[in-house]
Amino acid sequence: MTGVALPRKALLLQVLAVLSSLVPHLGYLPVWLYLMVAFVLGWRWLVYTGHLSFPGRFAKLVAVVLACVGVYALSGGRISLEGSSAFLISAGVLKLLELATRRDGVVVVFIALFIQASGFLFNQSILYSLQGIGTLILACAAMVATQAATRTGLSSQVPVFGVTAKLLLTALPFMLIVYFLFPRLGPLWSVALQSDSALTGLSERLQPGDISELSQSSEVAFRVTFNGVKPSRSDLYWRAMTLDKHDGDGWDKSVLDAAQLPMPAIIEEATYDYEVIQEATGQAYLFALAGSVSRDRDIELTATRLLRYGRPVYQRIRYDVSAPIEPVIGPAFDSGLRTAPDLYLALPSGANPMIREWARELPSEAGQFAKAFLQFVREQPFYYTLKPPRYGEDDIDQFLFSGRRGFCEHYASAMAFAARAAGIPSRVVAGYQGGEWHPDGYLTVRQYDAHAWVELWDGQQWFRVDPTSAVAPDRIEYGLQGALLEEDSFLEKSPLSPHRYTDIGWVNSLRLQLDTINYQWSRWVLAYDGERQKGLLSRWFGIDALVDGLYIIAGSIAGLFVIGALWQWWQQRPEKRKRLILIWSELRRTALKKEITVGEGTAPLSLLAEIEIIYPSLAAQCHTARCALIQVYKSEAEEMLERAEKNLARQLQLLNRQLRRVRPGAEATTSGNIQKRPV
Amino acid sequence: MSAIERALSSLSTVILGKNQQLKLSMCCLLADGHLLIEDLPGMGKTTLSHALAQVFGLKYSRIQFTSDLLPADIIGVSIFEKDPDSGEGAFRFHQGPVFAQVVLADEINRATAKSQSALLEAMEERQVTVEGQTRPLPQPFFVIATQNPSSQGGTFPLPESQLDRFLMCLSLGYPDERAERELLEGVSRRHLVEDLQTVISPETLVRLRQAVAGVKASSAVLDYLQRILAFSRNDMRFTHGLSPRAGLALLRAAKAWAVIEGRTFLIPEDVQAVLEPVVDHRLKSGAARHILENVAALA
Repeated sequence: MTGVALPRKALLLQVLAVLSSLVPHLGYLPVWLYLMVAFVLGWRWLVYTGHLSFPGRFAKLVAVVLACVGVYALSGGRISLEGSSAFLISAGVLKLLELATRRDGVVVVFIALFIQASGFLFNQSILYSLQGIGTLILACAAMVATQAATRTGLSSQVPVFGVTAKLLLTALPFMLIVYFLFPRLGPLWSVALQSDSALTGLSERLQPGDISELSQSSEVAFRVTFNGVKPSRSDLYWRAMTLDKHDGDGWDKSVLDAAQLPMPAIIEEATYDYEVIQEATGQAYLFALAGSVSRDRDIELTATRLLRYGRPVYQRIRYDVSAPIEPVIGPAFDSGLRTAPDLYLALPSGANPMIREWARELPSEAGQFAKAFLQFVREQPFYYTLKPPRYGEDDIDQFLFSGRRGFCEHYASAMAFAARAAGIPSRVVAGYQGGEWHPDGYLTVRQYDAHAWVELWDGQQWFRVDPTSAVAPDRIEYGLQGALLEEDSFLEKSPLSPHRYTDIGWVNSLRLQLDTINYQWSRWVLAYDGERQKGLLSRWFGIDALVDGLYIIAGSIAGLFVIGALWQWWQQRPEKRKRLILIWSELRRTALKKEITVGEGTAPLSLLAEIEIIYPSLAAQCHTARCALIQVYKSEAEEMLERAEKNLARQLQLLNRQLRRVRPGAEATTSGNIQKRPV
Repeated sequence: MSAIERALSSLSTVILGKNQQLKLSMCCLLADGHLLIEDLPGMGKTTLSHALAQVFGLKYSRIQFTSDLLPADIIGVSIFEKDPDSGEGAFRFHQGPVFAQVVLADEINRATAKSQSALLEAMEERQVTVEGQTRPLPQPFFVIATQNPSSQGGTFPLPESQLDRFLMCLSLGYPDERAERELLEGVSRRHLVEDLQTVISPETLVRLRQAVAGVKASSAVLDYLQRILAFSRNDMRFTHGLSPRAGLALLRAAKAWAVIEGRTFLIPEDVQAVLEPVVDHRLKSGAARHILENVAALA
């Protein structure tokens, strides 16, 4: 049976909903998918105008195969987020090519909603959320228009957007209840992003050029809100990882980063208390000031005194941290050194002979060494640049004694190398420095704030030295843009980025406002996690036990739904009348099996007569049933009818049982012997 | 033998081998509905109409519809006349053939729409308005119209609004072999019709009509009727559904059928029996069969 045809309004809304749901995926889709969308829309348009018919089975098969090949080429057979979403989208878009009936319409609406929801895996900013609401409205309207379609196409009488608004507003309280109260479950599984470049951030190996490349991005890395005292800008060194293995080329992550320390009790001295909202990095490291501790679940302290998350950060997370204002880097801080003293002195043999020679003349006391090195950097014509030349063999020698042009990683690398050559344990620390103070009081740290510096061991503790501060004090005091004013290479590759135009007043204030909205969005809406839920619930209802409280509430909501569903079912339960119909249709089925012609519209009395003619042995029951039937037709009062119908149902059931037992054809031979009962 | 049975048997002496159609046409008259008989020329349409009028003992007039027939030819016309006694002149209305108990509108679709419509008010309101004055028609009032299939030349098909006013549309069809032989051997039908006795007196007719009105329709049957109406309105095969007037007509016809069958209550079979003549001309040919096949009699 062909379904109900779609009215044009529903068709239009469905196509719009699907197109709108693609918006968050723009930029993550392969080129062929855009072509496919255009092609499908063109074809559907030609179908709509009557120039083409719907694609045949073969054409559809070809399209599906092509899409599969495209997805395979994209993901190389691995299961990845981009591959999966490309597959979903190509399937959803192809569905438009067979969008003809109401049933198709319903499917397309669900696909549009699913595609939109999957878009949040890529982007969760408030603009995309608003866009998602737009898609939701379109999809809802499409659903209303689809469901309003009747065989005679009277849907134009339904105020589609009015009904949609009513539906969504009705659902709004439920949405809020679920948002606030439904248990926040962690992800059950995660799928890696296809391209690593989709997530910008520090990598676990630092090579010359890495950070300068990262500096091209103005994406937010994390945002920080300080409660109480705010550190000065030159103290904002956000440690992410320590790199202590040098192989002559780059620095690798410390093995000690994996070792775990017990999280110390609350720091007793004066502290900076701050809250970090970190974007997805795809890695487990967190960003914290030196000496930070956190009491949040899933956060660990490594042997190198870094904070680390229990699993790779694939979605925005929020955590509370305390850090001492004067980081006492006492014995606890050196556990890294105690476990592996040689680790921090190891150098690859042979390379960079000049710096080794030179370092031997430097003081071997850590503080003195640092001063001497910084002095050297300050006095020689070093130049801080995003575009250093490529240094070849013995790159540190070349940089330090001839090139003298480099970015922070060059300086840090050279200093750590020199310290080791001078016999001082040293390591490179990668992280972020500074950030942008927002007028509203929070700090936004972006990828271009990525930085590398050095930590030296003075026999008692690790202390931080930043050689970049010697060559480019502006970098530390004013940020990267200030340091690169002369060179004008800040965000060179994105000429339209508003971050380049902070000196234009309205651009800057607009940018800051947008940033605030997004920050508040992620802070209050996206970062509403289990912890916050617990806090909220205990404030509102005084329920402290998170799990219990949540499950009580979720359970009661589910219970309400179950009760509602039961009530609905009770209201529409098969009534006695319905029972009669069931028995009637059963009798008809039995009759068909017993070679009696009976159709959908055969009237009961006629069927009884037919049965009686073919199977005279059933005449008695037929007669009783006929009397019952006539009682039904004669009865006027409601209760009389009810009784009559009950009786009829019984009689028909009896007849049905008897009829089932007779054998077709058997009676024809014996019917002569059976006396026909008077009717 | 009841009056109905007697009427049927005397009708069947004139129209041979068409018992079902005779019963239906009786049913139509008992239900106080107008009857349309559609068939090829020479199938006995006019004979049936005449015979019906005779059997019911009603005063009838016959109008032969032609393409140049005018409304005044049906309704009547005012003519300036001198009164023979007083000698004063005045307009006097001369009643047209519509002022009869049974109007045989022969070949109704050969007239133009204008003249066809002249019958409309008469059929629905049982009155005619001429020159601002409303004149009631005699009681009972039946229109028995015959029409040639629209495929025939020189026909103006009746519009739906007019078709809807006929309770039933019957078609007689060719007689079977035996009936035909009898027809060929027997005397002229015209004489037979003229000799028909009045079987159903006006009093009997009134009584029968009361019986029809008194037939009980249980909710089970009314449900079935409503399912039929709903089906005709929702099914893709029909461009439009049955109107509420058609629903009432179906119920009335079914009740009349129940009376003919000698029952005082309705059963679905009554509805099914009259479904085709009541529904087909309102929807399209074959509609009743489609409905019968698809609408459950008990649900």
